[in-house]
This record gives sequence, structure tokens and C-alpha cells, in this order.
Amino acid sequence: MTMQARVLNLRKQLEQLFPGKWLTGNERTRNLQTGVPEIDNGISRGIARRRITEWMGSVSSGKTTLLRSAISNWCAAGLSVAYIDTEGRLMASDWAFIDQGEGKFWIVRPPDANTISAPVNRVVPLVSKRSLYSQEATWSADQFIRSNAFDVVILDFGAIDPSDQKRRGMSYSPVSSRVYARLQRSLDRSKAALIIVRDGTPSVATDSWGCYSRFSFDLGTSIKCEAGLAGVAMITPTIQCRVERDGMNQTLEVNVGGSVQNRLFTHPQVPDRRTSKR
Amino acid sequence: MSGKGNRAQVVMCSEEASRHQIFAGMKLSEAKAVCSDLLWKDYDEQLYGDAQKKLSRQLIACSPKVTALEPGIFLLDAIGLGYVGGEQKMCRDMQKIAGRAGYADIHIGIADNAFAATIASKFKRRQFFIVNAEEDAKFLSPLSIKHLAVSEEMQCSLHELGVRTMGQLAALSEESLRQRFGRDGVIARELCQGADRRQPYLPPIEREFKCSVDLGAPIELLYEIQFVLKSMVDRLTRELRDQGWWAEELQLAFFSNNDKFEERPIKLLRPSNHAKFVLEVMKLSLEATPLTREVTAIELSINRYSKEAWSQTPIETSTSSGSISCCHAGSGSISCCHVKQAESESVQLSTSDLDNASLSLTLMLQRFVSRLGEDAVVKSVPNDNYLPEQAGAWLPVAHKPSTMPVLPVNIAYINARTGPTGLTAGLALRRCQPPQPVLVEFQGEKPKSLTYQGRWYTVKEITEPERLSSLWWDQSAKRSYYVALIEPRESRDPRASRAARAVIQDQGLLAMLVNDHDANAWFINGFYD
Repeated sequence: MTMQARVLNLRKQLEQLFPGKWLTGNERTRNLQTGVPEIDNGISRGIARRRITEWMGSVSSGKTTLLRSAISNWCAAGLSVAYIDTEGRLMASDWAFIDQGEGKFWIVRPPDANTISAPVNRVVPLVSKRSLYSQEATWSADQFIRSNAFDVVILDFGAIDPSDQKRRGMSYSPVSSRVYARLQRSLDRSKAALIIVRDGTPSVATDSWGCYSRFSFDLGTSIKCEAGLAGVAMITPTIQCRVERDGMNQTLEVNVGGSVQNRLFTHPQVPDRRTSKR
Repeated sequence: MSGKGNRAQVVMCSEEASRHQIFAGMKLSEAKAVCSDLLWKDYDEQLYGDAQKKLSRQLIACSPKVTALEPGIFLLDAIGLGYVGGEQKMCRDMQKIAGRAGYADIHIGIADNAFAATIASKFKRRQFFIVNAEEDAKFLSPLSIKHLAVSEEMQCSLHELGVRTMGQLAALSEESLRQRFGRDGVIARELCQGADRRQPYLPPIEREFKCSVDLGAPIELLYEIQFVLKSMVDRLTRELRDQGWWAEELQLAFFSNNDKFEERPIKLLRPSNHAKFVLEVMKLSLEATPLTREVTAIELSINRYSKEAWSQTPIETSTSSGSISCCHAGSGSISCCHVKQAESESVQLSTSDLDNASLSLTLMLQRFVSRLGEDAVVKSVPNDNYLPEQAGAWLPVAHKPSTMPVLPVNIAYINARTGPTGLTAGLALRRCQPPQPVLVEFQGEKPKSLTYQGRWYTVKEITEPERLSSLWWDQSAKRSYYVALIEPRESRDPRASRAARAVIQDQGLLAMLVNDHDANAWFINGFYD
């Protein structure tokens, strides 16, 4: 065995022990660029393929907005993204322009977010309907990863069900260690990146040893209110992002761009002006 | 009506509805706008198709060539009837057959061509009307041009030109009609002259692909059932291949001691006569919904089949990005699948690799359909609508809806003004399901504070409302949309639920606050996240 081959072998072994540390030349191809410079140039170097990334934040923390921006960037670059929306809370209009590029963007949603029910003729353990759909969501993520067709798989668990949390304690997480291990094993055989999205603060979820890096979000302190003719026209907050990886952490602040209103569309409906100011 | 919601289209309508300016092809919303007392039923294609087929089979007794032109209209060959009782006898026979089948209101027209015969069947609402041989043009000549299935615009133009009857239209030169109305004008002239190329033909042979196995002993394990199914699938797919067909939908029936306890239709995502694929799909279905009883007999039939397409799968390769796209021709269900080649710069997949890739993707989608339902995997499409809730829609990936429930948006227009990033700018909303009603306290005209899930919040900042109203013809909506930055007040109510306390954060929340003017109520539709 030549010296070069030995070094390569050693590097592979070290990579297995300390993932992500021994990559040099092609690191950027193994990490997916989010299009948010603060994240891409930070300690995480984007989102790692074949790894689990946690994307957390409380309600209204800006995590979905940043994730959408990253997905839009990936789809524009020709990468395909699968999103498992366990609670069915995403708004179709927000995600309608995502796959304008070459990449595909598929979403798995509960058939009717209000009527999550057990599959017909299936004997299910006595768990809440939401837990049942969490199981289906994990299965869906596994399928997408194994398909080798999607570059990024996003598993959005939303908020933790208070009833489950009450029953199983405050440290309860919908993704158990066993599930993490299983998903990681599927990821090892694919080239996809898995992002687990959760509502909540990192302290709540202690059971996430399997994640490679963690992004936690919060609204920034500076919130910009743009004045219009008669008052505030637009509220644009900044998003604070805390990145944790390999025991290191970094805090970033990201600005949000303005939105395009529906009225800019070319074929609006005939306006009905019956709504007068009450 | 075919389709769902307001995008549903009128397939056929009664004469009374036609008198109220309702016609086939109209959207339901338009029809309701024209006639508020409109009564409609969903169009059951299968039901009409079956009834049409059944009547066609019975009408073969009158003539060997029978063709169903459109729902309720049949074309029969009436040549050589002189030796079997004449045309009048044929009409009476047809009336008897239709009467026995339960269709009392039947009108028959006999002419040299299909168009003249169709007009003759409606002529003066007689039971039957026979146009003399070689007198089609003479029969059509005094009739109004309204009988022609041409656009309303063309009808008006002809009327303004003084052309009222088909005879007048037939007298016009072909060139002048071509210049004025294009191909439609030429075809209309030919019809008026009694030239129609439509002919009845021999009805297609009914094929039945079905096989059943009566097992000696009851079985319940999946691999045992799969073993039995394999031999059945092998036989059926061989038959399909030999005859040049492929299956679109299967039907599996399970019996336990002569009692049919389960019957399940299995829709294939793409038509196939490949035994391995079909067997895999059935296995997925059995895994997703296991059988509840042991099985003593199995019946497998092919519900729907179509002519096998021999066109090759189109392949688009892009060596620079290393991606290969494969589209499934003919299925119309999977639009495009990408197989990424991350490591290599320029990769050529062999045909077998490509087949395997597309097969595995189709199977993956089939797994989702079997386990979560047809509408579980969706993609979002923009809809040209003011209301945020209506400005986008989820369309299933596994099948194409019969009518598109969206109005397309001119994306180029937005791209030109805001750039590509403008399309996904702004904050993403996470909806509350359903919208949460809130109690609002005002300071002057502006909301000052509100209650949400048993806790008071102070409105720190609020935008000017976007006042929208639309859909007055369906579900009237009059709403004002606000973006509000709210912060929790110190709780004065110790009874606030634990669940609420778990959800509520101590930081500010950016909410979509909606004033529904119809319900005279305020709601939180969701939080910008």
C-alpha cells in the first residue's frame, strides 16, 4: 500500500470517528449552501449531506422563513427537496414559487390536517392521532432518503403535543434515539441531508444526540417598521440564529427581505369594493 | 358537472338550462352567476360510460355498426335495410330496444350523413324523421345556422353578414370562408353541403382480463398470498402483452368460504404490463392495508386497460449539472423525476439503470399512495387571487386533477419587477388550524390588545389593514388582514391552561390578525415564522 493510499485510508477512518472534520477539498460539495451568507460562511458551512441537522425555534422565531429561503435556493440550483409537513400548517401561497428552477419540491401533508385518522384496518397502539402521524412522517422521511432522488429531506414535527409531553415527561421528543439511529443509517447509504424542524427551544429537546448540527432561531431585537401613507405598512424583523456544531457555537443575525403583495399580479380578480372601512 | 369546486365544468345540461344561457363547457361559477336556481349533479363518467356501452351492445341487433358519438347520441349504419324491412322498421326496432332499456324519450333521424341525421333526429321533435336519399343538402338548406356547432362569435358574424340559413352558408365560396373564419368556416360549409366524414364503425370487442384461484386451504400470511398472486399476475400480464395492452387499474377480491369479504381497486401510477411491477404494487397495497381475515379464494381482474404505447421514455441529460430527468410518457401522473449524480461530473446511465431508477421512484410514489392516500404527496402552485388563503393551492403529484383548481400567475411579470428572489421574499406563515378566534380591545380605531388561548397580549405594532373582498358568487369573503407584533401581558388569570402556557412564549409574536366583516369577528390565522 502506497503512502498516499494509507493517508487516504486514515482520513476515511478519522472521518468516520469525527465526521466533517477531515474533509478538505470537496467540503463545499458535501455541504449544501443555503444561500444565506451568514450560515454558509459560518461554522456549519451550510447543511451537511448524510447528516441530521436540527432546525429549532419557538413559534414565530423566523425558522420557517429562513428554511424557505434555503429551499428556494436549492431548487433554483437544481436540487430536489421533500418536505414532510406533519401538522399541515404551511400555507400553499408561501411555497408556490419555490420550484421555479430545475429542482423539484414535494410536500407530504396529512390528508386533512383537522382529521388525522388511523389507516383503515390497521391495528394501532393507543397513542394520540398526532403521534400516529409522526410515525407516518418518519416513515415518509425514510422513504425519501432511501429513494436517492431527493437531496434534502425536511421532517417538520411542528409543536410537541402537550398531551404526549404530559404523559412522557418534559424531555419527551417525537424523534427518539432509535428513530435517529434508523434515519442516520438510511442517510449513510444516500447522499441526502435530513433537516428536522421543531417548535421549541433546545433545552426542551434533550434527546437529540444524533444530530450533527443544530440551528436555533429567535426574533432579533431590532424590528423595522416601514411607514406607509396612514401608518405602518410593513413589519420586517431580523432573525437571530444560533448555530451549534461539534461543541462550538456561533450567533448570527439575518435580515428578512420585503414581500410581494398579491396586488402586483397581472390578472387580479375584478375588485369588489364593498368592504368599506368599519 | 365534472371537477370540483368552482372550477367544475358543465358537461351536459337540460334544455331548460340551455334556455337560461347555460351550455356545456361553462364553469360552475359562471353557470351559477347566470342562473341562481341551478341544480347540478356530479358527472359520473363511469356510470355514463357503462350505460352507453350497454345500450350500444343492444343496438347491435338493429345494425352491425354502432358508434357512441357523445353521451346519449348513437350513430348507426342504415345501409341495406331494404332487404330487412326498411328504414321505418329499423326505427321502430330501435324504439323498442331503447324502451326496454328504460329510455322512453328517443328521437331517431335517418340521412346520408351523420350531421344531417343528427339534425333530423331533433327535427320538429318527432319520434323519427327520415331524409330521402341524396337529399341531405336540400333538407339542411332552409334550416338555421344555429344547428352548427361553431363559436358564438362566428354565429354572430354570419348573422351580421346576413347569413341565416345553412343553404346561404353552403352557397358561399370556400376561399372567402377560409379567409374570414379559417378551418372552422370550411368545415361548417362542408356540413351544410351534406358532407360529413364521420361514419359508424364496428364496436370494439369487449375484452375481459380476469382470473381466480380457489385455494384448497385458508391462507393468511403475506408471502403465501403473494405466491398465489404471482401466478395470476404472470398469466394476466402475458395476456395483456400478447394483445398489446397494458393495465391501468386492477381489482383484487378476497373470499373466505365463498364470502367476498374484501374488494379493493388498485390504481397504477403508470400503465404497465410488467409482472414484477404489478406484483410489487399489489404487495404495497397489502402491506399498507393488511387483510383482516384468512383467504380461501382470490380473484384478480383488470378494471381499466389501454393500448400499450411504444414510444420510448424521453431522456433529458444535462452533463454540466450531472442530472438526469426522466418523464413517464403516457401516464400523465408523474411529471418529472430527477436522479442526481452528485459525485461524477459527466455520467451516462445505461437504459437498464434508467428503467430501474424510474421504477424505484414510481414504486416509492405508489408506496405513499397506498399508505397515505392519493393526495398525501403534493406540490404547491400559485393561484391568481387576492386572498392569502386562496393565493396558492396544493396539487397532488400522483395524479392530475381533471380540472385545474387555480388561475395561472404571470411569474415573468413578477420576476421582471422584483427579481427571482422577490417571489419567495417576506415571512412564511404557519397557519392555525382552524383560525383561532380572539377578543380584541381597541384604542381608537386600532387594536390595542387581544386574548389568545386564555392569555392577554399587547399589540406592540400593527400594520395598516389590507381590505379584501371577493368570491361573492361562491363564499363571500370580506376581510381585513393585519400583521401584528404582539407581546404577552403578565397573566392575570391563574386558570390559564397548561397547554396554553406551553405554547406561549415570553417573546413577541408576529401574527396574521384577520377581521372577518361577515362574521363580525377577529381571528388569528397564523403566525409568521
